[in-house]
Amino acid sequence: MEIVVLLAGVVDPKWRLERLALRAGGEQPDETGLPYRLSPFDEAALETALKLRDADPAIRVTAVIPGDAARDPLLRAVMALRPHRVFRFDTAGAPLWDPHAATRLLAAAVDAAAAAGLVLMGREFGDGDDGVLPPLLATARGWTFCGQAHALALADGAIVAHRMRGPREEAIALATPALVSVTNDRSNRLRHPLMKNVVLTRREPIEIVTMPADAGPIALHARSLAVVPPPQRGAGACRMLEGPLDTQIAEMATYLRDWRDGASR
Amino acid sequence: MMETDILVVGGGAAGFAAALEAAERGAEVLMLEKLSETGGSSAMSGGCLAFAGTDMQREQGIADDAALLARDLKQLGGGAADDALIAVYADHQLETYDWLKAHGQVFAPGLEASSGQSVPRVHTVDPADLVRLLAARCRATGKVTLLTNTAARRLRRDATTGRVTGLLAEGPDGALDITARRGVILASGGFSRNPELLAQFAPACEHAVFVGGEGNAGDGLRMAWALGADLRDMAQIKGTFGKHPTDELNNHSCLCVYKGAIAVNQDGRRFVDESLSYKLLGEACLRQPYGTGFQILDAPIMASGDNEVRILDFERRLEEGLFIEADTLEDLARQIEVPEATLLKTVADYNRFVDAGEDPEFGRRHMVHNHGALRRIETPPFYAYPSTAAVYGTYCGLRVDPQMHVIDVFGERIDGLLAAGEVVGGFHGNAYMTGSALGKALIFGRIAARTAVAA
Repeated sequence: MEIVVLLAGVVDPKWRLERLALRAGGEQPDETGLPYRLSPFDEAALETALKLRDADPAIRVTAVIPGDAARDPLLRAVMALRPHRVFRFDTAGAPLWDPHAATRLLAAAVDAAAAAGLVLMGREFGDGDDGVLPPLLATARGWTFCGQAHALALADGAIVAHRMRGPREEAIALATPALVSVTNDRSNRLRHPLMKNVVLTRREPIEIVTMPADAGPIALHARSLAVVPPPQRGAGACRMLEGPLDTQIAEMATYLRDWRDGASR
Repeated sequence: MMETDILVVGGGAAGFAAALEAAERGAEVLMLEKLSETGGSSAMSGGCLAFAGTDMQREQGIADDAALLARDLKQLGGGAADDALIAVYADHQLETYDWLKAHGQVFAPGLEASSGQSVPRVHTVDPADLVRLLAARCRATGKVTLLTNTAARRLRRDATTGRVTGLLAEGPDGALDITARRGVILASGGFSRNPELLAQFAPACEHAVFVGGEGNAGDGLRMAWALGADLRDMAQIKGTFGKHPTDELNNHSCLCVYKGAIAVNQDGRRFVDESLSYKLLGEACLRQPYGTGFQILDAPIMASGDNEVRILDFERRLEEGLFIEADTLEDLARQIEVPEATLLKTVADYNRFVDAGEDPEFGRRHMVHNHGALRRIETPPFYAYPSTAAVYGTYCGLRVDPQMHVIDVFGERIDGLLAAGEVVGGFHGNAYMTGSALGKALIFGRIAARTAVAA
């Protein structure tokens, strides 16, 4: 079976957002030089695919990262985990926050891989998606859809998705082709690459597949982009207790009593 | 223009220990920290302190004393370490342990043997809390003023006597000219964040991971160097073994080898006596293919970890997914992509050595240094911990005398200039004992303060 994992990447949370802006004269964000990381959902999807490959040597895993050259370091990081194939689907700067355009684009990205029996992606696809892209893509292509699975298993040649619904865990046998969005869980935390493969990957060429010309127009154009500063923390909300230990203990006890009394009122 | 009795450069453990000691002896202290937060490399460390002859050791039936500690340090130093500095550490470590306790420091209940230790003498603290405690005690004296975001730039000398009389600094409001009546104490840390100095002094560590306080750029080293200070141990910089090479969240080494694991390279072969100091293990590891290796262990070794000690907290790292786990050695070999037959033979040979009591390949006799009987690796599940070398500290720098005066290249004191902590060279020599860097910061910091107060 061919598994295609779509990986979005997110802007590294350690990166300072001051430089966020639109391209000069354009209507799209300027993503030049932004550092990307896999999101926890990306990582969960990738690890789920690698686990299936480990369980069945007949399974082939292709990882696809849509985006421009800014995603290439991310691509190498994924290559170091040794899926069978990794390529960047060059989107020529088209953003993924336009859901309809993104759906067409991701469908083209999957088509550029081998005929997939199973497509995996994170439950939210990148910084601009709130969870709509996976079901939208499955619907557009007529694939079976299962959302927010935390694990996939092989049972008699079939794919069984496991997901939580309230206190219950569902096990859903999927008809293929299927698209499953994966949520992060302790059980699907992404493995670390071997240093050997990190070193070897540095020397390997990166495969880039160009987006077909008929991928369709972009429906949404940005007019402005601004950084919203995080809310200020309340002054004095956090402070170290001072003075002798007994004094600190007394102050803490008073605080807790007041809090308890206030909570019980 | 500012004036103080004693000026301390650097807000880590050495700086705060010096400041507190000086303040408790009546001196007025000004501390400079170039970052916005104090703590430095000390706060990022494993929180291990090497003390000998403590009440905790006695209660746990561990026979240890200053002489055994000094002997271990000399053995590790391999002739390169300064015996006088080792004697200073050994003579003053127990009083520093008591001093910490008197100031309210609480130690984790367990004691462990780690790199370079003949007996369990790792006394563990939360290192960030340790620095916070010392900082709070400094504040409580009312004699210590801390300036954050203020970087020391150049030392100032008296043109006639040559004595260091203060320094020029740069703070948020501009340049500062500070006079120190009794001396300047450099507690500014090492230079693990200075690529140029590393390239100059540690070319063999090119492929190591560098971890250390953000401010560790060698400021104090270069300021004293400019005054003719002599340097020690600059050729001894080595990475510490046990750092996961691709995990970015956990900065500490993990030393399964000190609980009985073996270290193998990507070819599946052992490459070193695993009981050696982790600096020597790091040096050996960087010479292996890809500059990396794996610690191989089984279930009983995994269970023997100690979650109170960061470098031995195996189970927490297992929960974090950092260990690779398999029910068989064959499967483990496949997962870490080493030749199965080679790994199987390596483990079988090692188990045979353990039974025979002799390791003809590398001469390993103990789990760590002179402590602990070796154990077979045989009970599934088996684990591999990917490991490379990380430079946590440069452990080299200014030559000092036993009073912590900085000594120049002609062997003469630079009057008015003292040093403590990681900026000091000559103490460790060839290798490194767990807990001696943080211990050195506190012990030498206090001694430097006493010297300055008496000036």
